[in-house]
This record gives sequence, C-alpha cells and structure tokens, in this order.
Amino acid sequence: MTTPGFASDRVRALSVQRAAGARQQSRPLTPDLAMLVSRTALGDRRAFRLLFEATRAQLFGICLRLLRDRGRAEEALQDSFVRIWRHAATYSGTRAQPMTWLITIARNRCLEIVRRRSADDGAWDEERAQAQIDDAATPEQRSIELEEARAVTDCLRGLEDVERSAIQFAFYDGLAYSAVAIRLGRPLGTVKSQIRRGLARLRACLERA
Amino acid sequence: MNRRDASILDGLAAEYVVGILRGGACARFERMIDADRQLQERVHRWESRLAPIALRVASADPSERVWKEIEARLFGNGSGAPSSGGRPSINVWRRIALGFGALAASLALVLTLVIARVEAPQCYAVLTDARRLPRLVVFDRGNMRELVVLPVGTALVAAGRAPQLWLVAGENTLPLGRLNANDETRLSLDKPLSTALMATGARLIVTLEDEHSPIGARPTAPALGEGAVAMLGNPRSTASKLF
Repeated sequence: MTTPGFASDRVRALSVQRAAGARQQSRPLTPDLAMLVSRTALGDRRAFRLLFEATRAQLFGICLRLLRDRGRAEEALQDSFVRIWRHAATYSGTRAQPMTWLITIARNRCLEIVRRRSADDGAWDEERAQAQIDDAATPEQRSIELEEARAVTDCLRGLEDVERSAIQFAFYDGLAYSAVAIRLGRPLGTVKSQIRRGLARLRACLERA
Repeated sequence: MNRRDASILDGLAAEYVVGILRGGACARFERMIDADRQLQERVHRWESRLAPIALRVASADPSERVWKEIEARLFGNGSGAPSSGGRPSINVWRRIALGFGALAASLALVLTLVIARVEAPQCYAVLTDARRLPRLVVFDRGNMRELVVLPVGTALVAAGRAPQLWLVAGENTLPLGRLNANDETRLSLDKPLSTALMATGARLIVTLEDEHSPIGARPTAPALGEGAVAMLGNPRSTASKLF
C-alpha cells in the first residue's frame, strides 16, 4: 500500500522529471558546424541552409559593423555564403574551428568592399558602434571559439590603450591608418608605429598563452 | 629568409588580416600571398588568432530576402542542380561518400578534399582506427609518383613520437615515410613502391615511431590506423573494398 506521503513524493519526482525534460527540449540546439560544413561540401542543401541559419546573425553583425550599411552588409553576407557553398570542400578542421573559417570568409568579403569604397571618409556614429560591441552573454554553441576570444581579449587588454584602440578601430570598423589617426588625433606615422608594435606584442602574448 | 624579413612579413600578414593594409601595398601583398605558401600560412595563423574576437560584435538579423537571393544565385529558381562549379566526377564521389553510412560526414569531407586538390587521382586509401573513425586520407597526385597524406579527425600525436606511413603488400611491409601530425605530407614514390601500391590487396598502415630514430625497415609500434588501397579505375567497385 502506498502511503499518501510516498505518493506525493512520486508525483513531485515525476513533475521534476517532466520539467527537466521540458527544459532540455527548450534548450537551444547546438549545431555541429564542422558537420554542416562537411555536408555542405557534399552538396547537401539542407545542411547548407542549417549552416546559414546557425551563423547568419553573427556573420551579419560582423559585416554590418564593418560596412555600416544594411544593404551592403546583406549583399556581403550573400556573397560570403555563395563562397562558403563553393569552397566548403577546402575547409580543414585541423587548421581552424569552423566558425573561424566562416568569419574569415565573411570578413574578407567585407574588407574587399571596404577597400574598394574607401569607407574611411564615411559618416561615423561612435555611439552606435560602441553599442555593437557585445560583451553580454554569448551563445553556448560557440564556447570553444569564445575561449579563444577570451585569450585574444586578455592579450588586447595587456596592450597600451592607444595600441588597443587603434587595432580595434581597424579590426571592427574597417578603418585605414589615416582614419585611425584622425580618430585618435595623432600623427599618421605615430599611429602606424603603434599599430605595428601592438600587433607584435599581441602575437607574443598569444604565443605565450 | 632572415629573422628580420620574417618579422616584416609577419607584421604585414597581421596588418592584412586586421584589414588596415590598403591600396597598392595591399594589392602587392595579395600577389605575394598567391605566390608564397609560407606567407599563406602566416596569414592563416593571424586569421585564426583574430577571428574569435569578431564574435564580440553584436549579432543582427539580416532580412529574409538574403537567403532567397543566395538560393537564386546558387540554384536558380527551383532548380534541383546546384551550381557548385565542380567537375563531373564530383557526383561520383558524392555517391561513394553517401554510401559510407555512419561515417558519411567525415568521409564526405575527406573525399571532397581529394576532389579539391587533385584532378584525377589513380588511387586512394582512408585509414581508420579501431573504432572505424577516419584518421588519414591518402591519395596520389594523378601519376602514381607522389602521395598526398591528409590527417583528419584527431591528430596522431604522442610525446617523442611521429606518425609513420607503411605499405603492406603481401608479405612485405615497406616504409613510405614520416608524416606531419597536423598537416598535409607529400611522399615521393619510386617505381617499386608505385608497383607495390597497385598490387591486389595492398594496404596502408600508420604507426607512431620514435621521432629521433631513423626510419626502420619495419614498424616497431602497433598500427593506429589502416585501410585498403583502392584503385580508381572503377570507383563503385573500389569503394566497396574499403568497407
């Protein structure tokens, strides 16, 4: 015979299990990007679509920050995914994390556009740009890349303020030396030296990490 | 190249990846990258170093039309034939890869890497470990005079040891050469090795040998991966030799 207390314990236990199950089901799926790239290399259009869905927001954010124009950023994202489809077979998991590979393709496409149109002269919204650097919680599925990002971020923190700012203006905003110099209010030659010294120190730090 | 040159090139690679190299300097550097494999490696290293910090940029949602336009550019309107720009043989490789069942995804990548790198390989082998996971893919460069060995999955590494590839043909085990654990290796084949490789029942094995000892005549360590050599005269039948 089951005592009322035991019965209510069982009900509670089942409720907890169901709640845990529900939590598990509602947890965001963790896409295996390497698998999706390899399936894309095989011409699997469904895998390609999943790869797009899993990464489009992050890659679009990067392009939007570099190009500062939604229309151009969307075109760059399209071009990037056309390249991803055509070159998926060249991805090697022994050389780079899949997200690193995807970011590199998207950034390279955006930088081609930036270089062509001399974006440095364009109007700049400092406040909006700062708002686009996201230090908030980041998705679970990018934990490996984020660990690497942490190492780079720590090394960037170790640079002098002006070196770090100069590198960040170039990397995130696609600014050329002259535009970085204007932004920092320093002579062009000084800024070139600071960026070069900062990059050398960054490499040394990452190699020690 | 002296240390100063190396340091200058590395600095240029960093500036290129950061995106700050512009104009004629950028165009000249891109031509140098195209012609210099070591420089390509430097650029790749900087891409790997810096790409992760791009994840700090806030995500944003592109409009729905982006995907529609990607589909239209690649596949046309409702076309079932993707325009990957690949060679006709790709479909054959795809069918082979898809036939590998549970290993399809890994091997698909491996085989498409082969497609990307060589016009007409005459033989290949996929070396799998005890769990039947692929560890190495080996193929010739179309003339049976040079083998390309690509690591896949977890690298074969152990302290003080280096991976070594062997050819097992009948009663003979022949050393083919030492491998890079994490990168492509190219191994020259002389006529006897080339002939042995094409013999019926030829297999490749990989072992981890003492990295400081000269390459011996026989393996001193157990095989960590093995696979049959498949000739590509008839891909459908040779694929079945593997599994």
